[in-house]
Amino acid sequence: MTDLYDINKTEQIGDEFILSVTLHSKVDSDWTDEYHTELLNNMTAHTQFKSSTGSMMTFDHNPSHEEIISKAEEYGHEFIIDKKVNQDFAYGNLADTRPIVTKTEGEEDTIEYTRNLHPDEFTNLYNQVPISIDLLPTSICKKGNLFYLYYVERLKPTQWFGEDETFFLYSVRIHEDTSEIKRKGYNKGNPNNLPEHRDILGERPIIAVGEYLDENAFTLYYPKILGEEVDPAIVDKPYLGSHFKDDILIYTREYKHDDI
Amino acid sequence: MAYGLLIKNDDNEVLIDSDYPHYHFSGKYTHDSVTQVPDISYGGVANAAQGSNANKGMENMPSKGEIYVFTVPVDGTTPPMCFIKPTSSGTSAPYTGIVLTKQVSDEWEIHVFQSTVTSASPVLYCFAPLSQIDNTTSTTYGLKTFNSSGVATFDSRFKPLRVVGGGDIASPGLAHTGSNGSGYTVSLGINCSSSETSFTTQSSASDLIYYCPSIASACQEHTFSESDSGFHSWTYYAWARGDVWWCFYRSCFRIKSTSVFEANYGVYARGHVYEHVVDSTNVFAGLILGAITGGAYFAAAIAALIASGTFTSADLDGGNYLPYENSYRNNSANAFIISKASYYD
Repeated sequence: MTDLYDINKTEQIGDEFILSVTLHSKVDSDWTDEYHTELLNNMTAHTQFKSSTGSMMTFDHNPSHEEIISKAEEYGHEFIIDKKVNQDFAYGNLADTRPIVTKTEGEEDTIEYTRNLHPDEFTNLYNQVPISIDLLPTSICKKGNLFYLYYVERLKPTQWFGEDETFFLYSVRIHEDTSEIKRKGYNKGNPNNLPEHRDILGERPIIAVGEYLDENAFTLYYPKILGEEVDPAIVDKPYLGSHFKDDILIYTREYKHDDI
Repeated sequence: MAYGLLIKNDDNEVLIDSDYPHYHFSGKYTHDSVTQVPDISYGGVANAAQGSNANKGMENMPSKGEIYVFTVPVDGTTPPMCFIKPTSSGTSAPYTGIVLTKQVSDEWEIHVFQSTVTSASPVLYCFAPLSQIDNTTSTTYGLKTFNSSGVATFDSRFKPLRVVGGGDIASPGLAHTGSNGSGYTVSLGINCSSSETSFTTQSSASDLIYYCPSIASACQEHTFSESDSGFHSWTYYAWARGDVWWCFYRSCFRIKSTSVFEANYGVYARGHVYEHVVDSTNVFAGLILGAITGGAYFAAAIAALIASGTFTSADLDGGNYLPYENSYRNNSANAFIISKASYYD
């Protein structure tokens, strides 16, 4: 038994042995299927790439395992692919396990804890939320009197968002005293053509917009350094968010991985 | 034989035997039409957001040969013997072979397959028993034989078939040797060496015609599948793609020289079926390539082509042309007969 190849068919015609073989390839990684499942459950950014090539081999005898491997290598097949396992730098990133820190001028820094990477801090904050919650958020932080609960696209919090309210990221703000809830959904780019306030932001590219669903407010997100390419869902590079209410700039925040 | 006529040559080979119907020249025919087996191409997503979109067509696939369709007016149940006068001879000549002999009403439909497309066309020299050819003539002399039932079996006035050489030839085994491809790059071109057999040396190769039905075939394929799944940008993702490219080769032949007959293959049919699935909401184990090659998906591809009338337009019977996987059939002892066109021109 080998996981390097499968022999689909062996046919002997005269003295010739014709093998139809499926040669397998996988990335150079020690990750097991179990670990892959764990990463998925924890929503940790990763990839698991596989490929298989159907090949035909001919021999003048019934070949051994070593001869099949040798022939595959002669064909140029690579059983181990030198392909970097693609980890992004999103929340739950294995490469940078530091939490996301939000910096706002004139305010204390706030720290966003991810469920799988900072379970103790996450649980501590989550237990302070004053209302009953149907679905465990992906991450949580507290800014002033507000708890911020974040949900990724796959885990849409239908407790607060309707069928037509679809975003790639969701958040709800819950007041610790009044339990008042305010909802916010995030779109990549600016698909709803909200005012981009070029008089304030200049030519900075808008990578995402956070739309408040319960008030006339939104946040424009853009790279901190002009010219840098930033994925709104990934915090590999710092980015900024300028919050506008009734078309007036209220504050600008910086988001980045940082030490606690 | 208690009665009748039996004539042999110096080598004790039978030239005329009145007990058996001899084949006589029925005519020289040019083709009615030229066609090719339609490409069998089927796939789900032209440009998927995840995974490779490379080669979703027939890139890198070897060119197909062409099929010349002839109608031979030989009325009767005994099929005509059709000799091919090829477009050329020598080591650069295309290979040609008869791949279909089918009775249609009071005629015979003959398909001549040529390994490469040429501007010139092969010509058929056909022979049939006396009872199946137009046997009226004003010539009143010659040799005519009858069998015990009084049926004419030989008549020198109607150009009996004259054999100048022959034998049997084994076609190559696999049409393509070595790797069938890598990733989305297919390598199914014919690279096997031609096989050859000698026959009695003749004066001019370009004058020779041959009878040698194509009975050997080879079928080879390249399959490739990729899949990935994971978590990225706050989204689960999963995609998979599986492909099978294949060629169905038919044996065909050429006159290499005044004394050598060669056999090789031409690409008779080719296909590419793939499935490409992207799912951002559910993590699945990945598309199993067997689902494509195993039949259901492939059958759908063929059904779609037939429904579209592709085969009908090509005047060919529909079929999957993937009868077996990476192998060959009937490559040995293919009898051939050599004659001369100048005997009948």
